[in-house]
Amino acid sequence: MKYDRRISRQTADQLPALHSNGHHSWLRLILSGGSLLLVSIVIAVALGSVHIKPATIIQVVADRIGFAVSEPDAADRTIVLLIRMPRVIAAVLAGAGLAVSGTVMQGIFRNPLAEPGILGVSAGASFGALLAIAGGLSSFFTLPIFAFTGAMLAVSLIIGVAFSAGHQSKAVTLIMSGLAISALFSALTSLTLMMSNEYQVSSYIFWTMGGLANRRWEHVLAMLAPVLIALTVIFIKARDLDILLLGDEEAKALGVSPNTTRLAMIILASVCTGSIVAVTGPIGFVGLIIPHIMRLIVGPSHRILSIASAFAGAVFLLFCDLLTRLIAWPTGAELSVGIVTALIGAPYFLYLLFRSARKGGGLL
Amino acid sequence: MTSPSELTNQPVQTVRIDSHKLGYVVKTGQKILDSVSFSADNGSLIGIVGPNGAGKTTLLRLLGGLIKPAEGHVLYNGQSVHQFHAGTYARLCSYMHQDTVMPFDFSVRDVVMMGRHPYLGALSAYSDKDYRLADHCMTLAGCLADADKRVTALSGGERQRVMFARVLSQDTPMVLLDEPTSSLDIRHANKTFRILRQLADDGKLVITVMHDLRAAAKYCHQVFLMVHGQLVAAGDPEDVLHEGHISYAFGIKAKTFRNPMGNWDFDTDDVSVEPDFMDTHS
Repeated sequence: MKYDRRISRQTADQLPALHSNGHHSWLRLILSGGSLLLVSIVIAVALGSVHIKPATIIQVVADRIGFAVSEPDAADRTIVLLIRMPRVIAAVLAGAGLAVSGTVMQGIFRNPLAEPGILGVSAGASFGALLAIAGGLSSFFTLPIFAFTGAMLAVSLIIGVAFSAGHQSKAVTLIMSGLAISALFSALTSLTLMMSNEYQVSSYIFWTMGGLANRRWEHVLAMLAPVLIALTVIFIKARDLDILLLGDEEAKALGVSPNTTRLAMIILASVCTGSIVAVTGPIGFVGLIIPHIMRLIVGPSHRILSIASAFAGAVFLLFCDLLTRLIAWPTGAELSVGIVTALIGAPYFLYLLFRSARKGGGLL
Repeated sequence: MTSPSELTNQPVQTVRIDSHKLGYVVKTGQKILDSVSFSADNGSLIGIVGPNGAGKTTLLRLLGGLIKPAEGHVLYNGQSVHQFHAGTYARLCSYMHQDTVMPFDFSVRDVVMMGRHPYLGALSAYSDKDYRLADHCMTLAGCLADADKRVTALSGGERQRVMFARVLSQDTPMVLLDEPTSSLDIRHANKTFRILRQLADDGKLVITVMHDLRAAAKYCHQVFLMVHGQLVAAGDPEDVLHEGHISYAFGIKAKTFRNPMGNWDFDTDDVSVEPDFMDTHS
């Protein structure tokens, strides 16, 4: 009885309003993440074989936008606008897109081990890229188109198979048909590799390591729309993703249609990932660890988590790519960015897992 | 005891549920539900009892619009449940599942707040009122002390109280619950039933699947007895729960009596009336 009295005294009106509405927290995150990203971009553009002063970068960009203060140096202008800037922005878009797609896939499949390419995107893109290489069509722009087409073909097959089996998108059905279709595309890739010459095989292997070298504004433009659309829709629909984590029927009882939500999110994340992989090749670990790390830091709520993942993914890939450029400078050879993301990402991931296990949490 | 509805602007809403010749068949062809018809109005706590596999949960899911009936239909205030937009129905009917497991580390408060989702626009954030209502529901469900804990770190019983608080925070005229006390100790189970009774007395329609016949007799306005997919009896608890019905439904000889507290009670024979009763019917 004593307990009951204590509770009845504590009526809801007397409880302090601890939570101001959630707008503040994500606005603050966007502002701080945005400034961090801007600083990172300036640093990444400044560093390289030729160092460029941040003031010069601002001068060049201001001049390009139309705020001509003083005429920038032509060489600086070329390096900033045509060489470094497109590569840096490509890294930002790819990092943000992969991390957010990973966040979505982990949410949709209620599994922190899911990654953006889980539904055939990687396997399909690889096959498409190899076809372009082996067919002698691997120009700067045809290869991404082939890779993107391959990715979308694989994803559509998987979604088609999963939905024709019972007109719903059960997570298990999707993962299973994902495995099967991915295996099919891998087999086709191996078959094509066997029929390719040595030069084609090595240029395919180089492509699979993922890289951002020599990317141009056209590549940036190719990724821009898919990544921005995915970011926006996921931001708006974030709470639906949270609720889907309760389970399909629970979500339905809360007014969230599990099948429609899952289908829409899968298409968004896959188109976003497909466009990135087409431009950069497969870059591992960003889509897997960034959402995971951010979930440990900002919590699992998707609105905050997707913003945090976008910024963290962008900054992470930006600095990994910067590292490949800086290491390349004295030795002459350039590392693939996929190698760097894995070399940095894997140990840090393990460290986080063991730390969380020591604190009594599970490994995941 | 204050009721959740005191905190919202929602006036008591009339609810009438009509189930007409409801049938449900699983893919193997087995009939789970066979021609179930009844009507229920708001202001009532209804307990659905019956042996395992009788179709209690299936009936509840049909009422909640979670699955489509193979035959017949469910009407909510005269409109077929399946004609409602999912978001609209979520403001009319809430549903608590037997066991809901969250895979990620949401806080208890986050999960309870999800009950407010049907009332929010896509970009709008939860209001202070939503937070206060959630805190109040957590107080009622006895999990306010856990509000900032991770829901993944809770025991089964604690998690069940969180899910109960979430259903309360959805604050709908009709509330459906599937064994809401299955993991709770006696004190929390009694408290849950008292809250459900209060909700019904305040004007909601509350339908819960339950196994505790004593609690059904004590707290419910009406009891529905289901056996093999059919609604065998419905009405006043003590009329429905007579010895013949218990023997027929559960296959055990039962004796009902009034306990020293003056409440309905029963005891059962150890020996089954028909040992293979369940097998012969399935």
